[in-house]
Amino acid sequence: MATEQPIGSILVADCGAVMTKAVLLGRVGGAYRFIARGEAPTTADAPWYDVAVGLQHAIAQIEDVTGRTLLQVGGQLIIPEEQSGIGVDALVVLASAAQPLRVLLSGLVRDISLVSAEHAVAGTYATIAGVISRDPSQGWMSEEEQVRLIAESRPELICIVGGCDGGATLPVLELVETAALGCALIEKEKRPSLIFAGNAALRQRVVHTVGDRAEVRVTDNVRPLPDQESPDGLRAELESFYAQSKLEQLPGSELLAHWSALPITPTAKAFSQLIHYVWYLDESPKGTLGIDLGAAHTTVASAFAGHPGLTVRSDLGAVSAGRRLLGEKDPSSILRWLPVPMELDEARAILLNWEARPWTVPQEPQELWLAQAVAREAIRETLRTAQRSWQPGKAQLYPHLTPLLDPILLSGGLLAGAPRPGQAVLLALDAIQPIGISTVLLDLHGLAPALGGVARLKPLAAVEILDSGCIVNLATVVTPVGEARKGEVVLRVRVQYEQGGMLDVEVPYGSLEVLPLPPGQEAVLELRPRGRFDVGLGGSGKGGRRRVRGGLAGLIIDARGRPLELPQEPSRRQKQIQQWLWDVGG
Amino acid sequence: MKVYLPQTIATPLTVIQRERVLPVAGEILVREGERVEPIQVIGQANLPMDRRVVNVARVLGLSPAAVGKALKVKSGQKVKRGQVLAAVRWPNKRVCRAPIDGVVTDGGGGWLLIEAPPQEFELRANLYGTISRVVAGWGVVIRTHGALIQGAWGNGKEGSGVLKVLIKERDKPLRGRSIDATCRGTVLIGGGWLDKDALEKAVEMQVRGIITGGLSPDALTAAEEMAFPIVVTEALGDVPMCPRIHHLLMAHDGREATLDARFRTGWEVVRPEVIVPLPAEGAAEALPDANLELKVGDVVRGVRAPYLGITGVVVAFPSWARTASGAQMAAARVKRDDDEQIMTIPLVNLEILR
Repeated sequence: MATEQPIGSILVADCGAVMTKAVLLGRVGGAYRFIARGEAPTTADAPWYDVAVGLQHAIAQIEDVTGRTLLQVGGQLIIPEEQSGIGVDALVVLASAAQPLRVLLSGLVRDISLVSAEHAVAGTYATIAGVISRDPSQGWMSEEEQVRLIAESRPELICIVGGCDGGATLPVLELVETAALGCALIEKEKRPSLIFAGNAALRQRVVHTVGDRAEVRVTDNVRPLPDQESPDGLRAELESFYAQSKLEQLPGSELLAHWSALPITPTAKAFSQLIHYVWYLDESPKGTLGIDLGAAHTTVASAFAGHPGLTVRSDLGAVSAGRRLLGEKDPSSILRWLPVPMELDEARAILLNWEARPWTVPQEPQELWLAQAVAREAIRETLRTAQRSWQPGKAQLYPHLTPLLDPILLSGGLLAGAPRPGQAVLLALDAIQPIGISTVLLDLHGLAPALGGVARLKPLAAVEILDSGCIVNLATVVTPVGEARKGEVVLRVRVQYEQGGMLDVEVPYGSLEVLPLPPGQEAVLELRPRGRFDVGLGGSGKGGRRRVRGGLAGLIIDARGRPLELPQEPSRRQKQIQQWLWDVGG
Repeated sequence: MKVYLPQTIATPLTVIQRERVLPVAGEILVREGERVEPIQVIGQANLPMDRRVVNVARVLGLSPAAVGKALKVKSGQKVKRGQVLAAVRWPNKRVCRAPIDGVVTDGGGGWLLIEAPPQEFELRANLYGTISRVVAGWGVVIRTHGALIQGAWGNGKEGSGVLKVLIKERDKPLRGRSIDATCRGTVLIGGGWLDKDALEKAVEMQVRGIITGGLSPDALTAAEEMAFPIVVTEALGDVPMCPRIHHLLMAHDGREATLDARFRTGWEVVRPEVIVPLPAEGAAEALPDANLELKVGDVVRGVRAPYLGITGVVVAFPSWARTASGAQMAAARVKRDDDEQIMTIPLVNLEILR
């Protein structure tokens, strides 16, 4: 019988694009507990070119706070923990500090094989540098244009998909030939690799066609049958390529890998593992959702009926998304979330300043609102990408709305560092637009990816630390779904506090009600929706009783409608946003 | 409490070593030990230009395997636009012509690749100094001594010229009306920020660069399009130049300076900088110190509103600050350079000025 390693203390390092975090976990009173954390700027870039330096700074902060020695004089981590209490038993390293992979997709049909390839790419730190399609509905792209796109977009990887197993051959081979020709135009040392995830019958011919013009890897067809998607093989191949060509190439990562008990894990993957784990804690018929809003990436992890989902948008971080979204989209998509007027130029300047110094934190209310507006859109866009590959089953009550989700875990500096809890919950409600009853959790100390990483080494530690309350209840949210006139009562709520007392509330359509239910307290909610309204308790008009827990922002009834619609007229809209902020105490 | 902050270098005298690299492999025209001037061409390379892929098989209606016999050109051969690349006589006469002037560089699978003649690229030194290292075919390292100031934003251009202090007050904007014929060919030092009018006048007067504390948001797009370098020392916005950098620049009025306004955020960060070469010899090269812990007495600069453009000395930390947005953050107590007032500034919004 296998026995678990005797591990007492665990240090988790998370080397992010901007900041490196170190989290110390240890056994206190017979159970694993979060002990301390340190944070310092990541040092992967000039002038350090060594990620270990940033980690040593973060560990030094932990030493300072705890008085416990973890590093030797030369900066070496002391492993394992000595009897005197110095050092740690194990180190787990997570990383998102490497540049995302630049991937070019080449496939036959936009809505079939290319969509499946996109689902696979979304599961790792990657950006799509271009798409080549033979789909006439996407506009004809000549071979010359295809080759030019490859040569100019300079991808690191070209994924070729198309053809069911035993299906189309000639058009797929033409894509391969074009890709090989494009590769031949690029200097040898910068030439992309090819991954072929199309018609399995063509693998040998693909290798032969490409010849020595590029390195070729082959993996399972992403669409073995027209109605069957199988992106896991390609996803695994991309992950492996990312690990080899990016994580292992991070300057200083060899030292971290030497200290680490496990291979360096992408932070998003660890976060996804935690969300998957959380779903298994109560195997809810609803989905479990995690949002990790980093400076350079936004990660959406989900679990429906035990099936994990992971989407990373490396072009939409809390800091990096702003200028891009303002430049590429209709700027009003960002500015519409502000409670005050702001000129586009002013917004651009603020966001560009933040990009230049991404470790800073907004201090002025206008800058904070702008940052939170960008966060709303970054999460919305990432969710849109994620939802394309979700299979929520019965959790999807309405096709055009978000499926039932419980719990929803929010992680990331901008969310955890919101000056008032109401701001974080309102941001999440606006961006995710959940329906029914959801518990919103906040990763106040940035532990979520770390716990996902630890779960691979010591599952008990992850469970015990989750139970210890390090991830706090932000709010319980009830969202009735239906249509009514503004001001019409759509839900009657009775809150029976466990500690005594009762509260009856009539909720009018269009309102955002915040009821007191502080952390640590529980209450029984009795919900009685009006006939056409659904609170996720079995259909329209169906109510019921639910035991809920309190949170930093209390109990929120979001009757603003789904999908959420903002007033068109700017001053009315700004007044409305300000009102919602006041409602939630933001 | 151990605190590690990002650092900005604004130093009156140091050793400066800068790489100058060709975009593609080429020829380096200088040797180690040679002295160079900013406008001197130190390397050249041929930049690949237009490339065209010609699907010969499709044009001629042949299978890829049959194309070889129809070809009238070889790999490496120069071709003119309209020249016949391949032709068949049977069953119908068909020809495939070159779409551009160029060289046939590759082929296969029924295709030909034609590359247009390359464009010559010249790499200039952009700095007074001595060549300390040559990487054959790729680039050089130039070593010099002087003042070095790292900026916060740049418009991506490079250049050099004589510094001219135009605005003596660090918190007064640089307006168009201040720029006259005496500014021609100089690098202007503004006090505070810069607006659109000033940019238009700078173009008219053919200035060779501008250094300011800030840049008005409505002038951002215009500034990006300017042909001369613009280095903003503090941040975008109507921001005054911080006292330390302002004093440093004022001291070099009339000296030749190099502006490298290349700027990149995100991955592989590049910061703009101003270099003023000096005859004196600096000590060690000023580089951010990997293990520099914040301590009382350090010079710091505010890098986020409302403290942009403020420099001072740390008198105590850690402390706590409640910001206007309502957040409570670990902070440092800083004695301002300009009015000696003590302010409490969140640590995350400070950097060490060295």
